[in-house]
Formats: sequence, C-alpha cells, structure tokens
Amino acid sequence: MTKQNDVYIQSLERMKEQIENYPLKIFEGTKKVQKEYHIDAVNQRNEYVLKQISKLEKDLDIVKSLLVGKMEKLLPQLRSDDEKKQLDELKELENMFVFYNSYGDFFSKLGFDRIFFDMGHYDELDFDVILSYLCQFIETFKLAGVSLSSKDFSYSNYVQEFMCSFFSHYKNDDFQEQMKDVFDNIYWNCPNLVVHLKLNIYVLSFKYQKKLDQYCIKKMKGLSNLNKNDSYSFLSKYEKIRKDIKNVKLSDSYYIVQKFVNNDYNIDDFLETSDVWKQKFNQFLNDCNYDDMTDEERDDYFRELIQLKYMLYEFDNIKQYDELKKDISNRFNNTDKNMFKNKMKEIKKIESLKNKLLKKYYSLANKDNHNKYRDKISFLISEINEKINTLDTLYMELEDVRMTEKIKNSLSNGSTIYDAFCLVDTCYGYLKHFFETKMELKDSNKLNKMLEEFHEFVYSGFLVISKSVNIFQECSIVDMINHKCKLFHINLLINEEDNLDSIKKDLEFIEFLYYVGKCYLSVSQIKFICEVKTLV
Amino acid sequence: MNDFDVREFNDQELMDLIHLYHKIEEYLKYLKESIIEVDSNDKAE
Repeated sequence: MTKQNDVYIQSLERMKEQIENYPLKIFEGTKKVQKEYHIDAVNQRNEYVLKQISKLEKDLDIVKSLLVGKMEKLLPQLRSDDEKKQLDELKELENMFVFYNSYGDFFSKLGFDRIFFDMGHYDELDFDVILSYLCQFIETFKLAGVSLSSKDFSYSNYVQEFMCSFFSHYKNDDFQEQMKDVFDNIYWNCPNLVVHLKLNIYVLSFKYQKKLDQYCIKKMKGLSNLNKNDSYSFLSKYEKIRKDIKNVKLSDSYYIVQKFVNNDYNIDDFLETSDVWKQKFNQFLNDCNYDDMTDEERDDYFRELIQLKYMLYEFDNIKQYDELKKDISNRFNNTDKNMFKNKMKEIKKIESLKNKLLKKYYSLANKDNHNKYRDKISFLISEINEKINTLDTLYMELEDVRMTEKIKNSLSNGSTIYDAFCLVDTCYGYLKHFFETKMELKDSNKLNKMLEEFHEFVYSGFLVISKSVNIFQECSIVDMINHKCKLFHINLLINEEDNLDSIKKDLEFIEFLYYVGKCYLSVSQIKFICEVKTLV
Repeated sequence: MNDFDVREFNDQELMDLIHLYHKIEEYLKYLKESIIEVDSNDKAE
C-alpha cells in the first residue's frame, strides 16, 4: 500500500470515529433542554456526515477516473487492420479455392452440382432461388462463351414454354413477377416443372462440358499467376491463413483479455498463487510437476499438450465422419468397371423414347385442328412425364455412379483420410445427400451448416492424424494418440469409447494458459482491467 | 502491443488503487447509513 493511500484511509477511519463518538445527548438540564440539545446535535452531526458524503463522492469519482484512465491505457486494442487484411486474403483465396482444388470438376467448380441437387429438393426452395439458379446457369454459360436461348431448353413442352417466357422477360424490371405468374400457370399442368428444368440443365452441362472445362482453366489462370500444378501450394496457403486467423484469436492480447472480461475464464484461476492452473497442468505430467521444470521443459510440455488437444479434436471429428469413411472405402473397392457405361446406355434408351414422344406431341399440338387430338395429346403428355420421372431417377443414379468413378479415379491405395475428405468436400450433392440420409438430417439449414463444418475441419490447418492415416486400412487412432502420450511422457491413456470432452476442455485451458503466459500484460494487470470493467 | 511501457504500471500500485476505491465505497456506504432521522415527536415539541 502506498503511503499516500495509507494516510488517506487512516483519515477515513478517524472520520468514522469522530462520527461515532459525536455527543448526541446531555444529561444535565431539564428534559426540554436535553431534547433541544439532542435535535441540535443530530442536525449538526448529519450536516457533517453529508459534507463527508459529498467529499467522498468526489474522491470516489477522482479514483474512478484514475482507474479507468489506467485501465484504458492498459487495455489491448483490437488490431482490426491486421485482422481485416487476413480476412480479405482469406476471402480472395476462398474465391479461388474451387478453381484450384484439383479434385473438383467443372460441374462442382461452376456450382452446377449445387443447382442440380437443390433443384431436386425444390419443395424446400423459394421460387426466387430457383429463378436465381437459372440466371446463374445462363450467365455462367455466357462467360464460357456459350449463349443459351430458349431453343436449348426443350427437355419437355413445359420447359420450352417456361423458358420462352424466361428469355422474353429476362432482365426486364418486372422479370421476377412475370416469371412467377408463368410458373404458377404451368405448375397446375406440370407440378414437376422444376425437375424438368433440372434435367435440362444437367443435359446441357454435359453437352458443353469441353467449353466449360476450358472456361474453368481460363478462370483459374485469370485468378492468379499460379498454374494447375500449384494446386498443392495453393491449398497449403489456404490452410495456413485459416490457421493463422484462428491462432490470432487464441494468442492476441486483445482476445485474451476479452475472454476474461466476458467471464469465459476466471482470472483468479490464473494467478501465480492459484492451484487451479497448476493442477490442470500437472495432471498430464508423468513423474514430475510444474515447479520442478525448467522454463524450456515447460514450454516443450505446453507445445505437446496443445498438439494433443488438436489431435483429440481431430480424433472426435474422424469418429463423427466414420460412416463417410466407410462409404468412400466401399466405393473405392467397387469392381464394376462398366457402371457408367451401363447407366448411360439405360439413360440414352429412355431419352430417345422421350424425344420420340415429344416429337409426336409437337406434331399434333402444332396442327391447326389440334383440339381434335386432345385425348391423344393428353396421353402423350402423361407418357412424356412418366419417362421424365424415370429419367430423373436414372440421372440421380448416374450422379451416384459418377461419384464412385471420381473416388476410384482420384484416390489410390495410398490415399489418406485427408485426401479422401478433400475430394468429397468438392462434391456438394454427394455430401449433402450423405448427411441427409446417414445422419438423418432433414433441415436444409442444418445440412448446410454440417457442410460448412466439414469444410472447416478439412482445411483447418491443424490436421495431423488425417494426413498420415490411410483411409483404406484399419488403423487404431487411439493407439496412435496413446503412443504419442507415452513418447512425450504425457499422463493420458484413452479408449475408443471414452468421452473426451472434459480432457479436451482441460487441454483447452492449458492452451489458453500458455498464451496468457506469453501475453505482454501480467495476470495482475489483466485482473486490474477486469475489476475496473466491473466498476464502469 | 500498445505504445507504452507496461512496466510503468506497477501491479501493486494498481491493486492498491482498486483497494482504495473499494475502501471509499465502504466508507460512503457507512456514511449514508449513519444519517440519523430526527424523531418527529422531538420536532413537534
């Protein structure tokens, strides 16, 4: 305690004594005199107390502004410029990501797989989304040098009718309203219009595959100086920036202080005298403890424990995606070499039947006396619809076959879990369908969140196990982790079925403890900031 | 890092300042509670 503060607090104590010993009563004189004295004394005492209150309130304000001034000077600032720079860099890489990912094909790179899958689940889509997908499709083709017109949309008479209106209203101010009316009118005759549109899009995509492939290459070249062979270094850069952003959030003084201020952690647990942090650290040590270690040894242990934390998180995630791993393995081991050819043969047969029916339909519908053939026309329409429904199933099966082919062609016997996950990460339809069926998730928003989480996991930059474990071979990850623990004298032995939540939480605490130790502010200074924050 | 030397912020001094703040609060509370209400009967007489 400074001498000045000490003197001040002593003066407060003296003031208190003075108030408590203030003579409020006399025993001489008449009762009236005694009462008058008492009233007078109480008033005088109150007056003194009020004066002291006013003085102390001023003093309190002075001390408070001193505290706030010091706190604000100590409080680390958010390095928003640096952070913005990193986020801008990530955004730029995100835009390039699909084009640099060597696992993706034109269908995924141009977002057509998303259109194909989502339009297959049109009952969950707003009409505006369907319309925006069609616009996106047409504009992408235009960029690839293919100018589509209504003639390209002839998959069914309904598609033709819808797309004729589409192109005649395209880019008009009332485009959306007009198209909504057109859609509503056709919908009563053909509730499956979105499926017809989807199949037309699919067929067009593969008809122009060569041009679209060239466009993807051109686009990739235009995005940076890197060439296709630099895909690996691009992905490393992409992962690094994601990792750096996460590390800043963990190690930057601003975020460290915020975690205490927001009560995510209790600053008292981090004081030198606290047993909490020491116990959490020591529980992972074999035959030694924090106090007996050199700074260098402590640093080594911290680093190993932090790495262990990431391994346990990774292990839990790999377990979560176990079914996905199995599905990839099964597809890789599929020995049917003619799957694609056979499926295409089936499709071609039905497509040809459908086209014949469509031709017959137009020849009757375009006649002047077409009313005479109303029954025949109705019959043809129902036949066409039936064929298109069959084709819808067949094209979905074809997509499934394409996925199997992609796995067989892109992966090898030596592929790691990471390789396989990078591959399926590019396959929106496959992954979404997989999570939808295997994880029984129906909510589209939740499914999209799962896809995002999967992408975050694969490209977190922290993966160690997935990058070294072969996807097709039985390998006990638990043994790997236990081996690492043994090697680095970490007191931890886990089993396959263990719930690791509390261990992960303790390791997270240790990671935070490490960064608190590296922070330029002392724990006492952070405690000071937290305490002053509660006062203002 | 902020452009100041954190060493100018002595940990003990910071804690003392907080202590002083709480002490003043404590005495203020005492002062506010120690105001005596004058008895209305006393006043009437």
